[in-house]
Amino acid sequence: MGTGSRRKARAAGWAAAALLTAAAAAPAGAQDDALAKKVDELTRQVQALSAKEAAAPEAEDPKPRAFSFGGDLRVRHDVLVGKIPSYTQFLGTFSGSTPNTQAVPSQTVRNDSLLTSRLGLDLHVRPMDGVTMKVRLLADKTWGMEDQGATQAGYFADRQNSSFDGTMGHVPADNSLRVDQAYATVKDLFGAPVWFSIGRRPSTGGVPTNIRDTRDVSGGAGTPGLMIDYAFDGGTLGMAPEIDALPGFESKVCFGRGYDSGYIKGGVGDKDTNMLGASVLAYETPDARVDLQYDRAFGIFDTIPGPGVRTNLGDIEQYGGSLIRVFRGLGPGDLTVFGSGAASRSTPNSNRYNAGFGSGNPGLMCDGPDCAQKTGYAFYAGARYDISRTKTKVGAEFNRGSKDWITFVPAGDDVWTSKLGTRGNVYEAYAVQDLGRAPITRDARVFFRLGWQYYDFQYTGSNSWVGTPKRIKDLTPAQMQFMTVLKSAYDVYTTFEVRF
Amino acid sequence: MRTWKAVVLAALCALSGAAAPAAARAESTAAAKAVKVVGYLVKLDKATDGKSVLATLLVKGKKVVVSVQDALTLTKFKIGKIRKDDEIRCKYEPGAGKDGANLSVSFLRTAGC
Repeated sequence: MGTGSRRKARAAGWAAAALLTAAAAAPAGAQDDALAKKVDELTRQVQALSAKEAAAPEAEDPKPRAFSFGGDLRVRHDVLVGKIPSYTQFLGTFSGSTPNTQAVPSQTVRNDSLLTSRLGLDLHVRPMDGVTMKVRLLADKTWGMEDQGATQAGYFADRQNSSFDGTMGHVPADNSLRVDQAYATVKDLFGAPVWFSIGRRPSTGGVPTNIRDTRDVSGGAGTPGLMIDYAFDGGTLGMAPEIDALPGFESKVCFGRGYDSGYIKGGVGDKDTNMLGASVLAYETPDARVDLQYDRAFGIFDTIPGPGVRTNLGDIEQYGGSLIRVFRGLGPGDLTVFGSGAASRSTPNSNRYNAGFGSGNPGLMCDGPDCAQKTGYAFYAGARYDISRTKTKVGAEFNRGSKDWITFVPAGDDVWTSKLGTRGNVYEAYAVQDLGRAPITRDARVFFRLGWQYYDFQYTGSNSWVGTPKRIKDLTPAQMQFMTVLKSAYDVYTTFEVRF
Repeated sequence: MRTWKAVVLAALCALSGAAAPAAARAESTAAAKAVKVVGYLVKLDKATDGKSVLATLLVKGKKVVVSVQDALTLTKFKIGKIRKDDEIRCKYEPGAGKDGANLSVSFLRTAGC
């Protein structure tokens, strides 16, 4: 019985008691009969209400939701300025056997106003006990454009001329809504903390890149962002034994398909590119997190995955990890610090990217016929301070990649090129201000961001595994380049974001 | 009469004192049999002592209420790392908590993508 009915029953009871008292003191006669009738009526009402209360079912506890929706909208403005050093550009054609080239003088390139909108829609479904499905749709559009001309300018391999499978929805393009994630997970296999998950994976925006993005990440889903930031199709088999000394421990084996070669005639042609990895969330509490990962790409493609692929160049493997630590209540807020490091190793085969140079064609991280294994390194660190009273966050980050550093992060949320694939140094600082109003939907946030990035490119070919990287400040006219060389660049950006 | 009363009261006290360890042993034996469940977190209520949280799980359609007292899990509740609708893997000791409540030994979100 609801609260209202109880009040009515009590009120009726008090009225009955008052009437009984009045009846006891009232003079006898016709008034007594009328009063008695009223008392009887009130008594009947009280009895009926009490019976209803006794028969009413106990209020039920809420049930878990089978469906949940969420999403985000971001409008972003970038001011982009880059410096091109003097170098020799290969024009892609030959006069006889002589490559056509152009001497490019040092100059500045800029886009003083790039506006983009990004829309994300999330759907989470629980079709049955222990089974979940998650879908994320993503669109990233340049204002005033229905193509990628404003951002795919040929400076870097991951922003060369079009987005591709690993970057769809993550780099500005048109207003198509792309499937960024679509996967199903079956948990508690064999009554144990073992799970299987398959589909388009949550393999972008992983730790610790979530800190800059002010997103919370819990559990072992996803991949370390310094090593993989690529919308992969694949699967995972994981387990999470409870280890007292390692709270939150999870481990998983992951596989993915980076390229499908389609039908092969007569056994001649390029092959699929597959990835295999092992990932461990070694430790997780609300205040600390340690991730480790090893992965290997088999038969890496020679150009952007698609109809242009002609051959496989070899394998690339990575070893790496990250550490995040939160210090709560440090002054008026909380401080989050993180560090991530990784090594990459390229193992070329005898295939080369056919650029028309014959025996001088480039291979996996090498030029010409002599290709050797190369090992590269990268380091990424930063901090963010959250002031709870004013809902302000300020952060700073630094990353450095060595000459032979190569990684799979083309979906990184950066305009020039994914910063974590840079062969050089990148500095970034940002401030985020939440609107701070009372949320109506779960997880609702509205905030503004101001940020600044500075790229100090030291070697050519950031985010590319074709050809030998060359020191930019020592480039000679004989060292012609396939893509425009940048020696430095900065990006001042502002965003307005809504998340729910 | 007073003397008999005193004797009876003294005997009762002595018996209670002797029974307490036996009761404690029985209780610890029962508490050692932890129960493992997987269910959905449907409600969180602060306990009257203010130092623990009563978590209601829906396990195969039935409600199971456990008292959570460990600081790590309480912090997860506070900062939203564990929230309503999360699927939880819980190990608890029936009746081992205050006033006979189920006492949580382990309270984790189920692992998976």
